Order: sequence, then C-alpha cells, then structure tokens
Amino acid sequence: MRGSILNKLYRYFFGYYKLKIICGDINRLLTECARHGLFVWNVDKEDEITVSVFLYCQDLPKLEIILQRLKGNYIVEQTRSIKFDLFNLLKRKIFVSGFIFAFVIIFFLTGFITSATITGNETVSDEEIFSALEKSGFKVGMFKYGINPKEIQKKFMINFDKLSWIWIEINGTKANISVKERIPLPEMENKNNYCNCVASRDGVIVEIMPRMGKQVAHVGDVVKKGDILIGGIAETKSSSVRYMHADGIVIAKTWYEKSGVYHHTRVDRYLTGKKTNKYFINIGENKLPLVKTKEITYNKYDFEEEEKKFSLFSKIYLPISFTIETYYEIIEEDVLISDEEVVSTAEIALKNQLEKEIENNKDINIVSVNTEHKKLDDGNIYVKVLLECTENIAAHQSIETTELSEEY
Amino acid sequence: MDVPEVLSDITKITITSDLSVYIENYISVVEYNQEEIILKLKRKNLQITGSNLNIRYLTSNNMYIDGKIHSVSYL
Repeated sequence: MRGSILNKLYRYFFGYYKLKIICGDINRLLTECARHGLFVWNVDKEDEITVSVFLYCQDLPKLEIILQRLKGNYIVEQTRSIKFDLFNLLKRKIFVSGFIFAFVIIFFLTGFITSATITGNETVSDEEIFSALEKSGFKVGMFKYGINPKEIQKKFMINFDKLSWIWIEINGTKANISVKERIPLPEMENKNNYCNCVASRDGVIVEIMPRMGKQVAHVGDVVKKGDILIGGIAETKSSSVRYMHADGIVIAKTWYEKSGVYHHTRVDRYLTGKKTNKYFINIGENKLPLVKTKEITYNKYDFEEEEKKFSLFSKIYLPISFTIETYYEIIEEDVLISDEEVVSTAEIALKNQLEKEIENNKDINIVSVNTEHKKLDDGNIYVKVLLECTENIAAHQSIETTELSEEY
Repeated sequence: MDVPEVLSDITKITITSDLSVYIENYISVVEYNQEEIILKLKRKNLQITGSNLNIRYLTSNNMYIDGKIHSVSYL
C-alpha cells in the first residue's frame, strides 16, 4: 500500500502520459519498448492494433522514434504531472490572485508584535519599563521587521537608569523582554559628618562592637529609641572636645507585636455548580461580545477569565483572540468555630502580618514567637502575637557642633 | 559466490497464486492478448494462459503480468 502511494507520488512528480497507440505489430512494439529501456505500465490491449499504455513524459521522444520505425501512431489521452497541474492552476487568475492576497494578509498580520512579556524585574514595574521602551522605539503593535534590538537596548540604557541590562527577543509575534535590575549603590557616608550612634528602637543590648566613637551603652542595658549607644563626642587629654563620626554594630533583642479581636464565626464559600459563560472576540485592543448573553443574576459569584490566542506553528500569534468569561455562583455560609480554631487562625494571620512588616529588613532574625489570648466578656477572643528578634539597632544621628559647644 | 540472476541469462519466474506472474530476463514478446501471453526466453518460449491478462508493467528485463492465471508452461 505504502509502495503504491510512493509510486503514484513519484510518477506524478516526474509526469506521465496515458497514450493510445495504434500500431500494426503490438508485440514488436512492446519488445522494442523493453529493448530501448522504456518503462511502460498498465498495458491494455484493446484490439489487434490498438493498445493503451502509461509512459513517463521524458520517454515520449524515444517512443516516437520506435513508432516511426514501426509506422505507428499515438494519441495522448491523459497527462498527469505536477508541472502541468501547476501551469493550469496559474492560468486561473482569480485563484492565483486570491492565494497571493491571502498570503500577503497572513504575512502582514504576522509581521506585527501582538504581545510582550517582561521577565527579571522585581521592584521596577512593567508599566515603567514599557513606557521607557516606547521612548526608545519599541512598543506592542509595531512592525517586527524594523526592530533592531541592539539600537533599542542602547537608547533604553541611556534613558532609563533603574535597569542594568535589557534584551528583546522576538519569537513569532511575541516579544520576550529580559531585564536585570540595577543594584543601587550603598550611600557613601560622609566621615566628616559628626554623629552619635543611637538606638533605632527599644531593646536589650546583647552585643556591641564600636568601630569609631566612645562606647556609652553596654551589654545587658535596656535602651529606648533614641538613646545614645556610641557617642560621637569625646574629651581629649587637653580637656578640649573632639567630634567624631560614631559608628559600630549594636545587636539588641527587640520585640514586634500585633493583636486583634476575633469572632467565633468563619465565612465558608461553596460553589453551587451553576455557571454562566460570556464569549468575546478581541481584535487588537477591542473586546467585542460574540453572542448576546443575559446579565449575571447571581448574588455572589467567582469570576474566571481565559484568553485563547490564535497561532501559526505555535510561535506566530495573530492579533485576534477569544476570551471566555466564566461566572460561578457561590453561596457564603457562616460557620461556628471553636476557641482553639479561632486562636490558631488568628495566630497564623497575625504572625504573617508581622513577618510581612519586617521582611524588608534583612538584619532581623526571629528568635521566638509567643502567643497570648484572652476571652472577652462579649465572647470574642483577644489574640496577641509577639515576635522576639535580634537586630542591629545602631542608627546615626547628626551632632550640631555649635549647640554642643555651648553645652560643654 | 553466487552470481546474481540479473547478471546471468537465467530466467526467473515468480507466480503468486493465480493472480500474477513476475518474469525476470525475457527477450521479447511473441504474443500478447487477454487470454494468452507468449514470451521468448533464451532457450525456450514461455506461455502464460488465463483470462483478463494484463501487462501491469514492463522494463527491459522484467515484466509483471496480472489477471486470472490458468497455466504457465514452456514451449
């Protein structure tokens, strides 16, 4: 089966004729064809002097020579070849025009950037980057064949200093933009700026390592926010005052707390199973409803949106897509929960809130977590979470030299 | 070492049931019609009789005949 399909393809590619040959001596004709190396097939003898054969186009001149010798003749009944069919197809002007038009449209549509995604940014927002890219000559919707990533990169780096590197990779009609954020340089301390090291928050000192200045606080001291830990003023042997830029590391135990009043009810949400779909077609920036659907009558619902893009060869995305909005009806129920559940839920929530508050400070280490709770008169429960941490509480506070001179 | 048949003059005939006959190394076609095909071989002639006999294809050395084969014999 496979062989016959391959044979047919082979014959179609090289082209063949179906001939009706009229010749006095059919047997001699077949012998001569074989002797001259012609490949003929589907030989069908119609009568004593007529036979129909199939023959490759390239062998026809040789057959003509044989027929000349045998005083025979032939009629071409059928021609099959890819060249012949293509030639006939090209004669159909409307078909060819339509084909070229369709090809141009597809080429045109797939020549534009339809979407762009940014990866690698953490603190710098996508909008900021897109806005700066637009000023540097790149935006979604532009023709992709005119994009020079190196030029855009150069212009972008000159105009936007929050990133240390950017690269645009065009994949079909999608642009993948990779960025690397610039690590800000630490502030240079002005050593001529005279200051004390003071406590940035209340705590108990566990370790103190002065680098410059006079140590005022000691291990075990309870300090309040603003207390001087390392002084920037010292008396010299000649009883004059010397000002310094006090500096050092002061590790102290600190506490962070959060509390709240919690009820014995929890709101549980259930899906009823009912849902409604709305269908839209997106053409460029426009979102148009495909089918008229009735308004959503659910009291409460969850919403999900799914966009399906059209693509060619999984890389080239067309600027047309479908959006399906699904609305799931939900009901909310108040559920009574026990004291223990209230306390544990509250503890987790408060702990998460505290951790979120301190997450930006990389110097803080959480040593322990303590929870207290108390049932109030109205039945609600008061929960307090206390985080015990260690951190560097040394902060710089400038000294006004003229004021201090008066003091001294 | 066996000499391949194609290099020698030996005719090889492959008969598939009563449906087809494949002949390698023939010299010429003596007779051809739907009931009888006679081929000239090196030493003898080969006669194939049947009904609806057709030459499916032929080349300079080989021929493939199909149809309803009644007999294949040497003359």
